[in-house]
Amino acid sequence: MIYSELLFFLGVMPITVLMSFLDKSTEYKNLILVLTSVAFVSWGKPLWCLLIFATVISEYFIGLGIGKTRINSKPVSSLLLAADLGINVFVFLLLGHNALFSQDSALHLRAAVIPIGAAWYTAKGFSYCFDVYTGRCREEKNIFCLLTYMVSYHFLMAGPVVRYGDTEPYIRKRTVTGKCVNDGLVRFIVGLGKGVILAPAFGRIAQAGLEHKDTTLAGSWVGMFAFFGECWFSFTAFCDMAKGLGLMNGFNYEENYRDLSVSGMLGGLVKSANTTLIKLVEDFFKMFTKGNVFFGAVCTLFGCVIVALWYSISKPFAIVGAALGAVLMIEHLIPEKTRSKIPIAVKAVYVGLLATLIIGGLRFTALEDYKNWLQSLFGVGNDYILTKALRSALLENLFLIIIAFCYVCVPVKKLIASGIRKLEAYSVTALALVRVSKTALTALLLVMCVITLAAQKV
Amino acid sequence: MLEEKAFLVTYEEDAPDMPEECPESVEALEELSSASQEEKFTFINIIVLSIVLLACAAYFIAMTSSKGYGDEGNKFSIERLASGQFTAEISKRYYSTIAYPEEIASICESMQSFYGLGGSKKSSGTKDPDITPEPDGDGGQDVPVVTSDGRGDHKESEVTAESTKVSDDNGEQTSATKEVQTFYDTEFVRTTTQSTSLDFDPDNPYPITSETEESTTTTTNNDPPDIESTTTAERTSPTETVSEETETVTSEETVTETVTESTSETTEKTEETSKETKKTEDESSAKETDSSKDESKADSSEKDSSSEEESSKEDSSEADDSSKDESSGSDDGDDTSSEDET
Repeated sequence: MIYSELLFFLGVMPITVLMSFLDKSTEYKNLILVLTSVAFVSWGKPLWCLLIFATVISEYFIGLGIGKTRINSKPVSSLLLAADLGINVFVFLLLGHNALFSQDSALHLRAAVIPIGAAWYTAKGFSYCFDVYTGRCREEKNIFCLLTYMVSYHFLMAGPVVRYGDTEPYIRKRTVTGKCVNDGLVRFIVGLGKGVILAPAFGRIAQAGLEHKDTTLAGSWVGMFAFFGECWFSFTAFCDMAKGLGLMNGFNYEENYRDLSVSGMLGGLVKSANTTLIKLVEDFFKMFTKGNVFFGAVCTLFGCVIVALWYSISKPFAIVGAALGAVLMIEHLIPEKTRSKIPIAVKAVYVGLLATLIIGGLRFTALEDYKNWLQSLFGVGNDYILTKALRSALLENLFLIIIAFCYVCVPVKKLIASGIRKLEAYSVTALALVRVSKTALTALLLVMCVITLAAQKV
Repeated sequence: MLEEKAFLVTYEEDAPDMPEECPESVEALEELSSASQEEKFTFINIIVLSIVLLACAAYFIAMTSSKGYGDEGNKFSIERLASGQFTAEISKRYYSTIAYPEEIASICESMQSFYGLGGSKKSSGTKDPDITPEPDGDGGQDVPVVTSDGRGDHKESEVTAESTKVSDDNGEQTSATKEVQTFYDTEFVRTTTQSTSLDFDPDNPYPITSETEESTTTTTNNDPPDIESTTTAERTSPTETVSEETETVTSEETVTETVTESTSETTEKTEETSKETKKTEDESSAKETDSSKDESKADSSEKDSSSEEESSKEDSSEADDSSKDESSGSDDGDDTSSEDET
């Protein structure tokens, strides 16, 4: 089951939220959350896939062990942390990338039993023991609290890698107010709209631009930007939905992506997506670098490759991760003062070009395809500039492109937001008009998403 | 009255000195007012969205009924739950019972026309990696959704039909048709038995002695049927025409509602053979003519369906031609480039 499934957001989600209101105690809310999460993960799959939750027990005992030994005997706690890392990597490979095991192997599972979000689950599990090791949080003695943290469905799929220290206060005591539910619902619907309407629209444009047998200049550029748009909206959609679900259940955790910006150069752009995972990797490598700039740069390279492989264990991802790591390593070696003196326009060209050339490699599985696209990008081997397919795809999704641009482009977004604020402050009637319009648009978006998803099923 | 006046006077005298309005109090009042407004609109928002969400949820749940399947429902057992069958079937039932599918699809299409200029007739959803749009064609917008197995998104309902026909010495024909259709791991079997008696025809002094025909047809909605038929006919006379006629009847009986389109080619062929043999055939009996009338009705309906197929084939061939033209145009580069490229 995924968030953008009708059965989930028209069935599981309302039931969970309504049931959590039946009792005010946090223990009751946690119980409802755990039971719903079990249903969420095991839906349509054999129940024994819940064995994944058995790792909660290992996390619990390893966490206790690290907590006891981290001050008195550091080597033992380091060994325990390494063991935890090994367990999580094994679970990640077994359940997240089971295709790597041959069919004759005993570890080869049927695709149907592989639970979703194994990568997020294992990253979260490791983060707990790591935080106990570094002293960011204390070891948890109540296994039920740890179970709630590990299995909660609203950050199980693609949401942020929430650290236990940040979540613990909510697990111990939380209240769900009407404002929380309202904000969460709006956030969820916005995420749903991104995932169901915007991302597929960009997918269609990318397809029209890049999947022609004859390459075109506009197709190569526009198609690749549309591919980026598709990836970005898909990713942020799930993050928004996760955040919204968290709010509806009384959790408020940090954002997993930031507004796109070129001021931090390519490193800043890369770090704006999946910030929580990158922060975890950065914290992990800080243990080894200890402030050394050179080692920091080398660790940046390794970190990029690890994050890329965390997304997908494949050759294109490994190559793109290494290339990004190399560029980020060079950026890391440039002093901060020098970087800040570079004009913003130069930064924009630099970031745009390098991001297109490097991250664009994720689109292709064969090197030959990438080479053809690269040549086409600079006008080599193009017979045409624009195809009918791309033109019609662009025109048919024009309003969605404009909406997406307003959403992504930070200056435009800020301009619109300030305009709305001024309008709201103008008079009570204007305020009412703006708020009612927002409500109506959100409701319309929800209905559109439901119709689109239902039409895909019929 | 006097008492009241006295009270008022007392009140006015005892009233504390009200401070004059200060900017802080005005600000505080404004903040309070705006906070109240915020809460009011938050309340409206949550009520509206909850109603819409719950209405959608209720609509989909109300349409999901086991009665619509004609089976015993999704039986709960620990084994089925552990194997994932129970929850998987809930999903299947939930999505397969979406009411008014055509209306929803048409609404979705018309909704997509508001996404931009020019409108879109393409079904929504994520991109299909198997589709490679033709250059200078209509951009893959009108291409059907084709999946890797070549069947598309459409869910096929597979029907297996077996028919057995026996003719005895008296000319009485008994045909039994057994249709098997599977819905959610449940096999539905329908057996149809039909008997036809033929009167003695003086012009046809050599009646059929015995005939046994068995045919097995397995087909889906879109695929042409894989027909395996074995016909064993022992005749004492050269009047094969009658047997051909009855064979046609049998094949028509075999056709189920879902098979009709796909088996039309077969029936056409049998029809042609029957027409050829009809020239030499004498009109044997009134009942036979009646049955042939029925056949002709059935044939005409099948002809309609076949003509529809033909027309669709023509359309597709036209589309192919147009795509060929376009591709040739693109190869030439001169004709289309002026129009298509900017």
